[in-house]
Amino acid sequence: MVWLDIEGSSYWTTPAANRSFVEEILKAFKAHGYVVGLYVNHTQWVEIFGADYKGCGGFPTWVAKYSTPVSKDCSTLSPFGPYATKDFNLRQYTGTTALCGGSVDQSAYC
Amino acid sequence: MQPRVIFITIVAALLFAVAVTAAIHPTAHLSDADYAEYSMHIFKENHQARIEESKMKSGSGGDGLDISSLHSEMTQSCMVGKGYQFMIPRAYQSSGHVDPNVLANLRNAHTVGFKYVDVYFFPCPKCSKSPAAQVAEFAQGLAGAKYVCLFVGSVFLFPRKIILFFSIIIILIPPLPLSVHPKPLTFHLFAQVRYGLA
Repeated sequence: MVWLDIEGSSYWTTPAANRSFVEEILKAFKAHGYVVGLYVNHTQWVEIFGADYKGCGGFPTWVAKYSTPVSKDCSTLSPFGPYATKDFNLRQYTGTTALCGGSVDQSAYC
Repeated sequence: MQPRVIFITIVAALLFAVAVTAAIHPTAHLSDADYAEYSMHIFKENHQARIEESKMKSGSGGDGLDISSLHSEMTQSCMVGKGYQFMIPRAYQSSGHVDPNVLANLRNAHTVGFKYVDVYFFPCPKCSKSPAAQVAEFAQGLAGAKYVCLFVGSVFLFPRKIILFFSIIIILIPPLPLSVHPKPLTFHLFAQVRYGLA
């Protein structure tokens, strides 16, 4: 499947244009027949789409949330956008971590 | 040849063409809401085994990784050795291009024994390329990519192809009474045709 990466508000433009952009991307994925999930995080969802945007819900959801100490627990994550806490399927619990000489982000299923 | 035979042949050919098109793009006929539900359904069906396995293991075992640069066989092999189960390389990057390392990363992930492989797509909202053009470029870049399954649904496998062939025809022809409940039928079939989904 393909995970659509929604992050990094500096890569995006205005909330209105961003909403329309992501909806168009999903339409194009649909036309190609791909199985799609969304990679999201609370802070940047609000920056990119605005706190009131409830669109694009229902897809498998991979949420980024780093914490100290590291936690893989999804039950403590706040709801945002179209998501309730129970809607998160996968949690990215670290970013840019050195592993085996490479650089990775780590994730676990909720 | 009798006109009736010719007529039936033409109709059958048309129906077959429709079925092939629908099978290549199995989600194209779904509403946006149904597309989300379809993706969730396939996700749950296909990821269930890895979710259970992941939850049974403690520490890093059963978890997974995503990467945005070239990772060699040796590096990825070490990751598998540490118990990571799935790998999600970047396939499209925020500069608006297919990631030049994605095919090598997919190959290496497969070779070293990652059980599950997906890809991720970082779009470029500021690019002059339209969303559709970016997805088309991604599709072209990943066309024929081995070791990752981006979609399900095909008429080219027996015996499921026969089921899918007729079901798609049923779904696509509204006047048929069976089409009043296309969604469960579609989902059931997609669940049945989940071969090879990484």
